[in-house]
Amino acid sequence: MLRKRLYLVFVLFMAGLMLFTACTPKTGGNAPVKITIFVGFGAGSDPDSMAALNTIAEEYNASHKDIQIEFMFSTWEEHTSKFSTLLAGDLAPDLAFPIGIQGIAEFYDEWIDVSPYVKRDTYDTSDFYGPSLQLLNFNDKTIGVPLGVYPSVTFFNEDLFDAANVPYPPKQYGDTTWTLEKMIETAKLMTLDENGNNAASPNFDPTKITQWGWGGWCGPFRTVPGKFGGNPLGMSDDFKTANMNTDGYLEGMQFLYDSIYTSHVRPSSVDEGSTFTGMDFTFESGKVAMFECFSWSSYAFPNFTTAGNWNVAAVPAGPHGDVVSPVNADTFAIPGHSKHPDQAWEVAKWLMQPEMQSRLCGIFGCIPSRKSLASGWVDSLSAEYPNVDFQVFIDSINYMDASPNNESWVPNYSKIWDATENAMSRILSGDSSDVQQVMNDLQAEVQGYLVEYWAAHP
Amino acid sequence: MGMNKKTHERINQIVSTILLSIGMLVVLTPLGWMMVSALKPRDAVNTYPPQWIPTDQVHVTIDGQEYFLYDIPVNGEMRQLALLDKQGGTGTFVNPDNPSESYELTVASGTRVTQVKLHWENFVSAVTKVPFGHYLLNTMIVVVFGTIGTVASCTLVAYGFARFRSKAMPILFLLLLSTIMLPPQVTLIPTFIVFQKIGWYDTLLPLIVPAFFANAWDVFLLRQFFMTLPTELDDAARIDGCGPFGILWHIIIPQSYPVLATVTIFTVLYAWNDFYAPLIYLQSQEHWTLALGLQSFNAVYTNQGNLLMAASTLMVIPPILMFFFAQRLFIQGVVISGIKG
Amino acid sequence: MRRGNNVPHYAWNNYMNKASKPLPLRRLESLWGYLFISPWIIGFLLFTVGPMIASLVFSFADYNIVSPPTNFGLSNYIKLFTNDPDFWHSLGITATYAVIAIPLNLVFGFALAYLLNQKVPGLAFWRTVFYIPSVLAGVAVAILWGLIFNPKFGILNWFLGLFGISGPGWLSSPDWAVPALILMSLWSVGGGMIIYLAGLQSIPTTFYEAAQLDGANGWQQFFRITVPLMSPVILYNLIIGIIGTFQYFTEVYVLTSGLTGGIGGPAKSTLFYNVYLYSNAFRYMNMGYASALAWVLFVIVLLLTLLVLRSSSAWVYYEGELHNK
Repeated sequence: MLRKRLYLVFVLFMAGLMLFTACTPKTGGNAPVKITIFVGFGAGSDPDSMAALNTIAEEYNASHKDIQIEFMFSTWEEHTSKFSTLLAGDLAPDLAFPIGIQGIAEFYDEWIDVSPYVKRDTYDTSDFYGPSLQLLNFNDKTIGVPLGVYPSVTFFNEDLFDAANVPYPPKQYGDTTWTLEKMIETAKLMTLDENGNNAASPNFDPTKITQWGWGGWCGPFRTVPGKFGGNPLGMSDDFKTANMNTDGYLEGMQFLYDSIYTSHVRPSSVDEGSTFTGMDFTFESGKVAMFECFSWSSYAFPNFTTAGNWNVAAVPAGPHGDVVSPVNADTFAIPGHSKHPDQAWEVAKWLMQPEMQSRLCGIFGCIPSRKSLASGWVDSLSAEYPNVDFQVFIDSINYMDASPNNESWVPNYSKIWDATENAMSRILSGDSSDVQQVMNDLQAEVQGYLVEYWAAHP
Repeated sequence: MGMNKKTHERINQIVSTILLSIGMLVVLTPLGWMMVSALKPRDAVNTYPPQWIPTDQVHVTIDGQEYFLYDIPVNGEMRQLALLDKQGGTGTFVNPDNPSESYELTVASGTRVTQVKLHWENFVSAVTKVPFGHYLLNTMIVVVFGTIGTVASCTLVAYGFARFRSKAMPILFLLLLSTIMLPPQVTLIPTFIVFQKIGWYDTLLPLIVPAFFANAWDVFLLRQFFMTLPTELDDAARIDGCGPFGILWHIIIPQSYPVLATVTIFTVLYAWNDFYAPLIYLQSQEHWTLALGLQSFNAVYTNQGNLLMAASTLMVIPPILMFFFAQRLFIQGVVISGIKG
Repeated sequence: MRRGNNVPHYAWNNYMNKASKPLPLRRLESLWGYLFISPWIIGFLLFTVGPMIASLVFSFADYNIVSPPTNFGLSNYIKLFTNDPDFWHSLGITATYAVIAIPLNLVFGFALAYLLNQKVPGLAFWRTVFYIPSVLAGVAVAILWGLIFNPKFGILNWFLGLFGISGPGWLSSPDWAVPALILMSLWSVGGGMIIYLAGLQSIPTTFYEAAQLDGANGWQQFFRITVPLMSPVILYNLIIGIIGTFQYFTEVYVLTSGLTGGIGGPAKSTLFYNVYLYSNAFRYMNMGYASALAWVLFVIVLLLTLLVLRSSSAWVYYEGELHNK
């Protein structure tokens, strides 16, 4: 009996311990404040980047007395579980860096507003691209200062175009003939079956394709609607009504479907995931003539080079005249659970200095968000890939989907993300050929998540 | 009869060997691919079609800049020339030995020169890009202590469940099994808080200490084996004055080498490969383990598939060797169990 | 056939089988028993029971990990059973996988162990070869399997092609992803194999010799000696198989996170129960709901395990069983 009671007491004690997550503020004397920087929301967790970041930390620590910094690393796959265990365990990092719009959205309520700091220090933002600042301005707060952007461009394989004797896609923006329709027409000429017939030829055999004209858009589903005049949010501006089966989304999805199953210029996701095993981008195979992707694909440029001579071109205009270069961005964010937000801001400012920005973008592969650093970025990449016109990337910055962005916060963020990705997967894999039905299903599902969210957040 | 039996055995052997060889092909092909990938240059790990022989595209250096070498016909004669510049479909090709000898040619008429090359240096990079020795040491600490703790504690507990009766035993056994029926994802946060509150975050202790308190998988396995051991020898030993510990030590354990070896192999392997617990419980890289450190070659936005494969190849060698040599314990098992019949 | 050989029991086991025997011995026995299992009991109390109870508490609340649980009540369970198609979908996939994969793994593991318990030349080599897949872990496996399942260049479809079958797109095809995962699970039967092997090694050769003298042929020996004596090991692999497959996670997570449609894709075809649970816990930040999912799974697996354990008295034979009552 006594043992039973002791056991009960013990269990209650342990359960109480579990639920006890209150802060226990530590009082430090003159010891330097340690700022931990969580790396795991994006790039930066590979051995080379880790070494480079550790070197930066050493430099910082050698030159600062009051603040010392330490980078901590998580794999991207586990970043949410690692980050949330830290918060739950009262071990919150002081900075999350680098972090993109998606990472910000995943823990949106956690990040503090930096605009008071910006105001207090009269922080000079004039050097930053306007859209890159816009990206970080949310309804009720500003999160971070722009580190870098990753606009999208059209990549193309010059060798395949040369062999087919088809003109390259244009490099200049403002060419009104470079449209999605024109892109598909071009892709048809670049799609070949095993007999060498292209997809525009009447003898073309779509079951025996050996080369594809278009590899699609490498972004998630929400990059699609903007090209068709739709809103990347996929819902009303008050986040209460889903708009997933309206024109931008429906038209975009139909376009994707047709590119695979009607004009046969794009591999289905079954072909992608299986034929091009192990590749992050089908373009690496040298069997895909064009595709559109963010500049973070730069880590795969050596593979593109192995596949052939390649170059980049402008993003084509959508059927309603929209020229949209979907963008990702990197910044820092200060967790609300941080015990040293002031010092974290100081460290962040140090990291955002111009010279440090180009160094960090060199590690993560971003285009620095400061206009003054653009030519340096173009020069350094041109030295590595002399044949590629890197100015196209800089030009694309003017066409970014800054606000709303394809990764912008919506309620029930990851649930809706998974729902939209699943809908796209149903189309790309051939699981369903009824685009309207898939989008109606998605509309109902997303509306359900919105209702669920607003019921819990009145 | 004897002859017949021999022929029979012979046929058995041949059939078995054929079956095993087919199986081996299935099993070793992926492993072979792993090693081949480990020897490739980083820009040719994934090619279309997949290549079983690591092949490089040949570069030549002219004035400090690298260019691709092409096989290309010049006036009907095949030449090896470097592609210096490309405008549209036309390229400027030069003789790498004499860069002033230059031609304007259609790039599509040539092909890049390739050569077979094994990049053994990938293995060096895989162990030098990360503090390999440090990670290895941490891993060894976790593996050695974790295995000692697991095998010792699980043997005791399994012996308790297999050889002693009480009313509560079946319930406790079910309770033991139930601890592994709840998906660990939902106990991660509270478990983490426990270790954090007792100050074990960023130490190896959360990876080691729980091992000393037994786990359901290994206890269950050992119990099943202990229960197949006849009780006659226990009884005989008891008459000779052995206590419960003596019986465990002198009777049960010597009859259980195969299963103890199995548990050891499983535990070592688990501790060796686990990267999730280290990821959650460790922060400073000086405490990282190998599995966690090498996982970083697979980070997003990186292109180091060859190093990942080299690291993975290095990671599988020690467990394979360990298993190969643990064979002896299995064979020894036969000899010992022979005496009990 | 074995029981006939039993020598009479001596010492306390035997005394205690008789109801009239004095209590102290029994008490002593259970005290020794508790002493031996005490490492587990202590560990259970220190590290396991608290988190388990905490997760049970979370299952009745809204809990996003970052802030403390709120809104205690039954709503997670109500939603789960009445308004969550993904719950039923993922449970269905998991059950299907379990029903096919568990028996296949039992049979293949056993067959392989049996084969490797024969007098085949180079035994140590063969055993090592078949154990190798179990040694590989993580992303390397995913990349390697991508190659095996490659419809154009993978060995699997090449092999099917030998029989005139044109193989499917496997992992990237919604219809073939689960069969692909089942095939994959067979690749690493080496883990189960060494457990069977340890069991086979423990069967005294004298049994077979005696059976041969009685004129039993190979099949009779297999079914009358090998299988009954291996039944405790089979029981182990069965129960662990049930517990493991219902929590099937890592392989799917690693293999599908890079595919279109994300984790659980393509088109939710690999949305296994624990994959869905993980998403709720660490992607949707809905740890309360994930905990409810976990406890429902817990009950299902517990019931299945009880069912198997209950049935086991009919088919599992313990040489060293202690007879209660």
